[in-house]
Amino acid sequence: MMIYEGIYNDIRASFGKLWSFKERGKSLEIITPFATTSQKFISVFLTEQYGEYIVTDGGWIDAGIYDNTFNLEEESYNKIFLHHLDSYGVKEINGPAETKYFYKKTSTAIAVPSLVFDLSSFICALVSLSDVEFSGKEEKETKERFNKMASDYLLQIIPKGKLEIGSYIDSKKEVRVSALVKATKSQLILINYITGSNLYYFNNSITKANFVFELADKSEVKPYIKKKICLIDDSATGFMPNKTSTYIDHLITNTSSTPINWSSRENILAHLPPELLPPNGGFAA
Amino acid sequence: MRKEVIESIRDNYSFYTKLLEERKSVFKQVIEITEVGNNANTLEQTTDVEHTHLANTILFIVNVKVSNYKFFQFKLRCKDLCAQPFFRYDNDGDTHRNHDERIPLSEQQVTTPHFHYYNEKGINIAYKTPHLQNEAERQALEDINLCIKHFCHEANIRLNHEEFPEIRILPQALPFSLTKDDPTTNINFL
Repeated sequence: MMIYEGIYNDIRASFGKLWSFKERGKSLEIITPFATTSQKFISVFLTEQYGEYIVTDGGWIDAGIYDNTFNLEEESYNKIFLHHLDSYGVKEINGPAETKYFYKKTSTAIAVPSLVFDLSSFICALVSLSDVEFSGKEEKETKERFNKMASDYLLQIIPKGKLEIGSYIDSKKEVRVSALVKATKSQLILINYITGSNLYYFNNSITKANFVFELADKSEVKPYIKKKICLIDDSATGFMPNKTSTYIDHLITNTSSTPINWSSRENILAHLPPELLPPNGGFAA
Repeated sequence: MRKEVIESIRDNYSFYTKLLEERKSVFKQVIEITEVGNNANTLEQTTDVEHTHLANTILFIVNVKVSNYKFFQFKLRCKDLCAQPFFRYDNDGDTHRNHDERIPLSEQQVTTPHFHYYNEKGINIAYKTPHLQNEAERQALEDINLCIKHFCHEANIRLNHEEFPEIRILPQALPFSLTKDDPTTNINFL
């Protein structure tokens, strides 16, 4: 007897039970065991035309039946699409209302399972990957906007000559912060901006700040670092307190840094040495 | 594998239960499906629903595929709770996976027709009522006007007291019931 025979047999039987079907006129909808990351089982449609077997997605990808998007304007998604189209040898044709149909065909019945396997893998990948948020215009604009707003604000409240934007803190020019306040010759305040147009980019931004602060603590300027501040863009669409807090908490405790939300940015003043405070009490902005 | 959690439902589950289970009313005796939805292949009509005890705006949305009147969906949406419909019926379309390791794999698959609700964890769950599991009844429920009664029972919605609304698809058009069930018809796979 082989090891784990019972479990192995159960796996085979369980997978096997996931095959299902619906008869739809002259075509058979085959519900496969392939499932997407959005919890949809993939269907393919089998039909015959001019003596050949056709296996198609039935236009379901393009029509968004899986609650998916199908946007080939997105460059990264387009690359993924072309890769899968090529790898699985899938063909496409426009159906009614310009809906794209994807298919493979064969004249021999023995090849049909192989076609079903390929097309299911193809559909599964395209549906799952349509949920991936690729970098785009929105992210670029979000970052540019916050960088400008935050830097403009710091330039207003910190005296000239004491602030450097986006400068390296080490002589090897490896560690760069969003802003560097040279309070005195021996006192540095490091500021990192955190923003993002969605949760993924927002958390990436937190991770980057964490990494930069860690490197700063390993650099030659460590003895001079008086404070590390994370300026958090709480107006960004990627800021979701109940989803970003784990990352932010880790950043704060791991790097002993101070979080300041953009909506209460005047709190930065409390962390500046008195000689840097503007004469009007600090509410220059 | 990602399981999408609707946090606002999870965090307000007693509100969700009240929203779904308590009596709601529609006031349109006939819902005429005339508008083209976001997708050109789909007709869509939205009707207001009033909850007996909650003042929140609730919408009842009917979607019907232009080429197949048996391919329809009923949805209930309350934007105060979440952007997604909080309860839904799919007469046709894709098969859902109830991704839960406590359920044997073969039972995680739920074909259409099925209902969708959210469990206390805020995860979307598909299920079939006993009526949908009975083949004869399932076929009868492909008729949108029988099915809306089943949906209203399940979602606790009534027209006036014990009645149900009627649906008319494109009432101005010729009275053909389009049922292009086979997505491969009229396509030349060259």
